[in-house]
Amino acid sequence: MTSPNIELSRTIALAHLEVSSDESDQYIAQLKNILSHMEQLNTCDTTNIETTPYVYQSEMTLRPDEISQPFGDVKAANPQHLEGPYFVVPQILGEGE
Amino acid sequence: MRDLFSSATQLAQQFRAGTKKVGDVIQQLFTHIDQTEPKVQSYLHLFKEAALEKASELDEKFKKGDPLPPLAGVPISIKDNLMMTGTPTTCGSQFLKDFVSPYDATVITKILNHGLIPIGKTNMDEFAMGSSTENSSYQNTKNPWNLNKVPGGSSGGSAASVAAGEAWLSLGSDTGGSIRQPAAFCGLVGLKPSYGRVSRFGLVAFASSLDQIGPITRTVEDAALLLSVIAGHDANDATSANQALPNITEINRPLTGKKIAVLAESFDKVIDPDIQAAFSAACEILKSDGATLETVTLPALKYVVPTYYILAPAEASANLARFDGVRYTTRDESATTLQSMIKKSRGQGFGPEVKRRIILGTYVLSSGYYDAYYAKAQKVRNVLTAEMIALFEKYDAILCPTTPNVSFGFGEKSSDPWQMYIEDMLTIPANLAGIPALSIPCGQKNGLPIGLQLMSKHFAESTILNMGHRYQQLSDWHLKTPEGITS
Amino acid sequence: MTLYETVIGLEVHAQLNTKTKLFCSCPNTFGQEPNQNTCPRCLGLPGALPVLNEAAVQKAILTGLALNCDIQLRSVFSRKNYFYPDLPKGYQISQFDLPICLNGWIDIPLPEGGTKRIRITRIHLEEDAGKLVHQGAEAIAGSTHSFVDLNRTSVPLIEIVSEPDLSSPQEARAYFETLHLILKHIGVCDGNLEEGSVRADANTSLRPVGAAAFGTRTEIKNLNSFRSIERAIQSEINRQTEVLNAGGKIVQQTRNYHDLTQTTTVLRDKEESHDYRYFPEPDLKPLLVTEAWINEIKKQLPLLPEAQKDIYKRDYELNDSEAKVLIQDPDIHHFFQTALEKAGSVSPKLMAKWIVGDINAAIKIENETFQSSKLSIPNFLALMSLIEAEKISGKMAKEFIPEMVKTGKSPHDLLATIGGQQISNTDELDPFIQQVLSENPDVIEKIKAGKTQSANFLMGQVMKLSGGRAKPDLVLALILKAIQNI
Repeated sequence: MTSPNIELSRTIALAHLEVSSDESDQYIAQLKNILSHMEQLNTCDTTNIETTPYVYQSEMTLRPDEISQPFGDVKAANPQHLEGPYFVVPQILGEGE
Repeated sequence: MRDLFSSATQLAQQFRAGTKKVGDVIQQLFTHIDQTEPKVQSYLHLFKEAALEKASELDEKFKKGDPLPPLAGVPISIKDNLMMTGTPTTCGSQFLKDFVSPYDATVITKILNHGLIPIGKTNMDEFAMGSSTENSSYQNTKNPWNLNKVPGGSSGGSAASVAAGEAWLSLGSDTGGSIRQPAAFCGLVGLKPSYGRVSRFGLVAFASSLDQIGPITRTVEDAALLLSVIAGHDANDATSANQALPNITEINRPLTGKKIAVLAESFDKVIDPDIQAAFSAACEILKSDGATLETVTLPALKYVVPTYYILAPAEASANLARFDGVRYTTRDESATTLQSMIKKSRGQGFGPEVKRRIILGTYVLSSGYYDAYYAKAQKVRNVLTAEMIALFEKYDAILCPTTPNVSFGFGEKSSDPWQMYIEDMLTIPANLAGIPALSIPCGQKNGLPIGLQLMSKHFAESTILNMGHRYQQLSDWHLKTPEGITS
Repeated sequence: MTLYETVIGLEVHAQLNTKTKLFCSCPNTFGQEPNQNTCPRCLGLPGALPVLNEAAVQKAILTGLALNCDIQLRSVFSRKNYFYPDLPKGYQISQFDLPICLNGWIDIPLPEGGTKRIRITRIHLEEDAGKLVHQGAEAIAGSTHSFVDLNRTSVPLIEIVSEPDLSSPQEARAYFETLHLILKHIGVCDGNLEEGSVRADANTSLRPVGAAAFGTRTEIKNLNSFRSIERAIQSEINRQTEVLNAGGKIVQQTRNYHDLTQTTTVLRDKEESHDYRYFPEPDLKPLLVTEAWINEIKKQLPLLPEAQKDIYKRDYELNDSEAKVLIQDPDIHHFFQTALEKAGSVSPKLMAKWIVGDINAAIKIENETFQSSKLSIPNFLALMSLIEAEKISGKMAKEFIPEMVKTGKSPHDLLATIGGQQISNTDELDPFIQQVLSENPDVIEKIKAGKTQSANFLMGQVMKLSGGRAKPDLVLALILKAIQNI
């Protein structure tokens, strides 16, 4: 069983957060403590209980397939990383999907 | 000065009757804000010019005798995680320090159409994560009742602004208690509507299945009116409910025949004895108005904090993934590759509590842990919801204190995150079950307000608004104002 | 030496041709200014919430019905979480454990004849991502920075996942072609491969012939032509065979195909594979569809291409390639079907032959489609009537067609300008024939001597004299008859 330390380190990388090693150590310690409190849930009997995530069951209204663009140019308010019409990002190593 | 602490209903009446002009009130308000803000620090951004402009437009209309909506002209503060075109919307974070809203949240469109006047955007725990507003990356907001104490969180700025007379109303957001707890700490009324009652379109999401926008006000009547303004089905929010607006015409009906379930856990040893005493006194008042009170227990209550602190961070870890340095957040320009740019930008842009919760949320969703944590927590959530729905078969409402403790000093709960988390134990159930919950002031301890919480079943806001309003007819805690501010 | 058999499964992504995107009302179109076709939702702005497009659901169901799937009355959307600049929310809204369609199949033609049934595991709805334009190099490797264009984010996609029932690159290609045609035919996708409307990921593995267990598979991503699917899979089979024969092990990985070298290279190894942390999308409720709605959609399902083709061949005596052209292109097929409706007594066989032949050619030359060209159905039918009644010759029709396509003129207009209908009256033809016979005594001699082919020359002369209006075979018969009498 991998130690929670390694798992949490990996998780920090998965969450795309670069933190100093001190910060990382601190978070890992705090999170181990927090996770220990989660063990309580095992005393709750959830046999035959669904994991349905919805607060209450009801139908979702579907949107008619009609063009509507009421928001105008939403990029204009935040042009920080635009070069002409494009957002620019530095060199990508490897591919996403 | 007392004028600044009237209810929104009273103020709106004065505008309609012509005994006050909106422009004058706004001027007065900003003078007060200039004096009070250095002490309280509720606001991150103020909109004096825009407010005065709207005020003069409304004064014209009032003069002409145009028919105007019930709360027209009333100044309102807005939590800084709500989109409002042209305004900075930082969510209390450095990551969004340059972000300007390019569109209006549905609730903002509604309040603007109603003629409410936004005064400014209020301080909050970063991305709504926190219970004291100490997690704001900008400033600490102080509790107007005692400037050495926290106002609660995450809608601390919103609550402080109303408590300090810097606004008559405020819109906050509540995911685990972020409207009700600061309302309780600041001696105010705070309502978390039923999930789906108010559109979330334009609210920067923290935990999508738990978040709701709601009013922070001085009276229950004000909360009911503001709820009517912001509630309603919205085609822009697929989780918003197709429900008729709550009926608030009967909020003054006496409570004869109403059955209220008092949570036995209200007298648990973790609850401050002074809070227990104030709570008991409040129960007597409700009884005196004809309500029957019975003690019940909610067995799943002991699981709510771990359940919440799995589900909320999990959803938040995904909701905050859009903040990546690519489009509208700050960016670490020194990074030479995309991957390191994203990691550095997020590492620097987010504060520690946010990072902690993102890591926690990512962990409980990750392969190998999903079943033990996330799926388990969803099931426990359903167990709790079933217990509460069963109670509502027999009772009209559930009653308990809003918080286990009154406000605390800055830094007092910062050493152990879990200590801060368990402060939410009484407010979290309503978010998990999606039911409406109302906090109203019912006492004080050493000059610090105590809150009482009423919960009802889905979409039954009118029940708890009725009970809260009747309580306020028979008590005067909501009429008290913080000494330090009014002198 | 062990003999290996190939096991292939295909995941096909097709863009649905709805008017708007999947979760917002921005237009679902191609080719605007970068980042022009966006809104708070598809830009992933804070506070934005998805709202599901009804037509996308309808088209997904239609596809499921066409592919013989069970349509799920309740399906759920999930978040697929990963970081990449073409994914503005940092997650893609997709469907994970409860997709909208399950357990379908299609029959594909085998190269050696016959058909094979390929099972379809599932179909689900998901949103597309944006595009990256790399600067400083042709592709990512070596580029200095990249431009992000989010116009394409949230375009509706269906992902169709097959069981690993395909056994060769040729079968994989046939499967992709069949699927591609069905999607175009039922009208859910424009099928434009160059624009990336349909893309496939191919999972390939080898196992010893007759073995039950699957070998380790690799995935080749983003194949977007019939040819590249076949070639990429073949190249991967070759590579895996080499590795296995050398005693090595196949590593599970994701690969990219390069058409220039016809090889694949590694994109990502399993260790680096994503943990997508799927969880149900809390901003959307479960998607509930009723049996009633499904039945309504079923009524809109046209006969599938293969079945339609067989009917055309049978009923209209078309050969396989003619029938294929008719059903291959929805544009042509739609024209034909409309013409059939209004045809009256005109022979469908005649119409089909002219449509797939000269008319199709003329329209292509004009760079038009049947929909966009100026050739109207009434004009087309008028032309067919004239041909059937032998009022104009095939040669004349061939001359008319480009004019009709280019200018929209009716065949009667053109007759008036060219002058006269086809002459098929013997009395009218006689003078021309007599004239030609008198001018060509030597040819008459040749014909009498047995060289009957030379009569064609005489026929040509008559055609010239008559301005091309004489009916050729009648002229030929008359010439031969006249010569007999000389």
